[in-house]
Amino acid sequence: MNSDGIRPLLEVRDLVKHFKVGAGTVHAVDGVSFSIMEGETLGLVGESGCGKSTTGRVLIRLTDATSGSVTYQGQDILALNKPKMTAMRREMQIIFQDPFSSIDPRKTVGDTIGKPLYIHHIGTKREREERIDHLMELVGLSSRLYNKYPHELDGGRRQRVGIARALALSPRFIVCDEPVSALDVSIQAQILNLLEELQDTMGLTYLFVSHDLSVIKHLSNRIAVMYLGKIVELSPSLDLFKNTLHPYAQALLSAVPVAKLRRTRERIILTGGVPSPINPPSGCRFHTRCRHKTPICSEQEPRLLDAGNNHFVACHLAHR
Amino acid sequence: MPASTTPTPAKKDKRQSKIGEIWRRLKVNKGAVAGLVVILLLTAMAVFAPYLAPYGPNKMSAGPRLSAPSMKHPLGTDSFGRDQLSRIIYGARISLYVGFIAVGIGAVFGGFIGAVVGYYGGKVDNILMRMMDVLLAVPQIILAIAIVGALGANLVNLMIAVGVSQIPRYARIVRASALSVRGQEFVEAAKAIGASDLRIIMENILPNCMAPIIVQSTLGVASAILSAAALSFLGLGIQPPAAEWGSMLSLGRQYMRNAPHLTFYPGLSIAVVVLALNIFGDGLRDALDPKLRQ
Amino acid sequence: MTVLLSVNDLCVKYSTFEGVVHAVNGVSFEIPERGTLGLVGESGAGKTTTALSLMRLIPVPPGIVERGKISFGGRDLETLSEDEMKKIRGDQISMIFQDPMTSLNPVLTVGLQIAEAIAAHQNMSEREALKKAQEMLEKVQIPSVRHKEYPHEFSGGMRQRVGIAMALACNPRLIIADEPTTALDVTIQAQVIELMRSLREEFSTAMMLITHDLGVVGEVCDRVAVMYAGEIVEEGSLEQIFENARHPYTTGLFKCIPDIEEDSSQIHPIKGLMPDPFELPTGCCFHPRCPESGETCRSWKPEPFRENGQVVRCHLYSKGGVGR
Repeated sequence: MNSDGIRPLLEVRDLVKHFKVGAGTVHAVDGVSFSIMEGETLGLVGESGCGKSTTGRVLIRLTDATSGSVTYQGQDILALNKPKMTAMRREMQIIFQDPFSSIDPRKTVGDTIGKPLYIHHIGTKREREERIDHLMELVGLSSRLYNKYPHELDGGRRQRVGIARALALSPRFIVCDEPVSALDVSIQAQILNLLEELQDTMGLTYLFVSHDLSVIKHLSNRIAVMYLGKIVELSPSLDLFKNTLHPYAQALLSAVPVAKLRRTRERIILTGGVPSPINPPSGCRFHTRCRHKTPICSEQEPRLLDAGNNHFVACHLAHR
Repeated sequence: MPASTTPTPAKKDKRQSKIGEIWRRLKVNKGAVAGLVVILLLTAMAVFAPYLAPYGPNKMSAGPRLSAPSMKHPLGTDSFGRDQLSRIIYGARISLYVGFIAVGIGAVFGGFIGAVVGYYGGKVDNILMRMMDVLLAVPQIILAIAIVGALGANLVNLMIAVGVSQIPRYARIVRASALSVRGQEFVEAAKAIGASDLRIIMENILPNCMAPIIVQSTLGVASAILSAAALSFLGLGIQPPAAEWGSMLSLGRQYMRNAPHLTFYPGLSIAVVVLALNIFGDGLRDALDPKLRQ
Repeated sequence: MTVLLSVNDLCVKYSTFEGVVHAVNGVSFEIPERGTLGLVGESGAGKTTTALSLMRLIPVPPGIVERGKISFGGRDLETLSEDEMKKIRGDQISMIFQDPMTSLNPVLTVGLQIAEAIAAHQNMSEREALKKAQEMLEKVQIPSVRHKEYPHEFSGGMRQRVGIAMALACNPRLIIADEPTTALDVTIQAQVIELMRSLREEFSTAMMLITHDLGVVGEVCDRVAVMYAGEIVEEGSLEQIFENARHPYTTGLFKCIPDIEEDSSQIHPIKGLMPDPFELPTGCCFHPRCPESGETCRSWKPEPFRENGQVVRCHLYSKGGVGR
């Protein structure tokens, strides 16, 4: 899809985010590097607590990174001062998971969608209203809903409001943070198709964060699998499913329940749960649950290396 | 399902009148309307006191002192032979004034401080809230005495003193709500679209903390009137002979046995104000919350 | 196989200030001994209300059980007194909840909580019950020494295992599992599903699994009932539903899920929204969203059409397929 000829829109280098909590430091994101090409969808998949949502939020500076850099068109976003960052927000937006808490319950649909325009002083009042109408049409909201309050809408419509708000500033890059996981199956499909359509018509670039592998696979050009703050595997989408290299990714893929009578994959059941991100295991963070672990795994941390065809994996076994 | 892009006229009307919409919702609530009417009547009574009161507030009658309600003095007279009804009518001026302004000071500053510390958390929260704790630890009346003592005894300083002493309460309540609002994704969404912290506090955090502020304010008016009375009693606020409900109440206390009407009517006045405000406040809170719209 | 649970024409409504919600409208199904029925549907379909009425736990008011006959092990649940019902709940029918954190008591150790459930129904001393509780923990693959720990010391997956241990503690004949794996991560979900499957064999318990996830149904169930707007629109064996779905809603649901096993997947959403529960559509509830709906669908409720144990409520099939 995106060969080397296409330049990256966004480059992330050694991104680290630690949170201080009572019991110590949570290593939420621990040295993550990747780039996102213009017009592609990069899927970021992993289980709860792996740092995928935090990564998405740090990228657009909703929380400050501990260290690392995020380069967007030659500028390090993490180093921008406040006014410059505010201006940069026109380029990058986010769609949230929970359509119930991501919209202010005291603002009408029109106010919510128009807020970004107002903040950035775009257009006259009249022009803004027209833009809001246009945005609502774009995401499939009837203009009758302009003065409705969020509680009068169902989850799917609320999510459309959130999408329209994200599109208001005509961004080029959008972080989609689990945008469909709170929705019912039939509504989920509607929103997924809407996101795809918008990408086609507006040339958007997505970072799609989700725990749902089938959704990730459906939308993404490339997929990064995270485990305990690290990317363990990063590869073109189909390749990841055809030729899974990391033992964690293998287990994750095999664990997805498939709505079919005969599943084609052998199921790998992992033992135990995810270790605490406060004291992550030494060496390879997956070694405590890995079927194939060798002595080196607990001593040395594997690096994310190319195993051919842009298929990166961080596993000692894969690079022997 | 794309709908027409031309804005409908109905939409325009609605968009222009936020206050109209709140009023429409408030008006459904009969109690709230009644409360509002009572407050307006009392305010009118205060404004037009010279035309309504049968006597001057300080005019001592030649007739009996501490007399029971009669045709001549519908609510009786006090220990100086002053007409109780006239004093209550005139008293509404200072009492309502002190009550509203003091609560206004407390709610505005306290609410803002609460929203700020709730939003930022961390050090800001710790420092400001410990200061609030210090204020709370000092008995309200002593705090007010200190403030009036420092600024000088007059009506304005009295209101400031009572208002300031109420700040910690509002700060505390609003902080608690702000903490929960801050965690909601719409606050992050506001950040993502480039809203400044001040804008988020004013437009997202505070409106979602309105309910406890309103409830506390309506109750606060009563305690402000009483605090003002206590300060006046100590000679730190309204100086006698000025008519004021709180000081009338404390003056009448000495004659509770012989002339209970001296405490009853001022007390009733305060109770009516508080009740009316409370009912109105409840209705207002509901009207401001789009979720409770019927 | 003998029928363990049979539900016939169950109707439950909630009367609220805004109006009457018809949550369950004429639901009928059976679960045989050791059978596993998956109750699938989206939010608001009436799945949980159905489950609660089986336990007679519908809050009244606002809930009203209008009609319906529920018989369990040959006994009509309606005729039982509240005391008799208490004996059945937790003992013969038990429940596994979506979020075990809220269904466990945070201030009691898990061992004591399981023991309490056992002691409530079986004639055992406290010590015996505690010992049994530890056995149950081992059964769900939690080291029995952890019985002294509190719920917050367990991870989500572990808590759900505790929930399962508690549900199985009295060796019930029927387990109702309400979205038991929805709150769990994929790999943990796989562990819990595996565990539920093996324990169902071991304890030979019948199960009703409530879920929105067709994938989970495929892993666990042998019969499937699809609910929409308070009705079961289609019911059949797992094979029938997964390979020969007839109702447009069922087929629509399958088309909504991206296929993880295909190289490129297309998804086809069901248009429109779930109907307003205060004002259900006339005729077939699904007709406003149905790609195949016609005049008949708007005005008449379809009668169930049965074939080889598969039941469909759709005019395309009623009366020998005369159709709309």
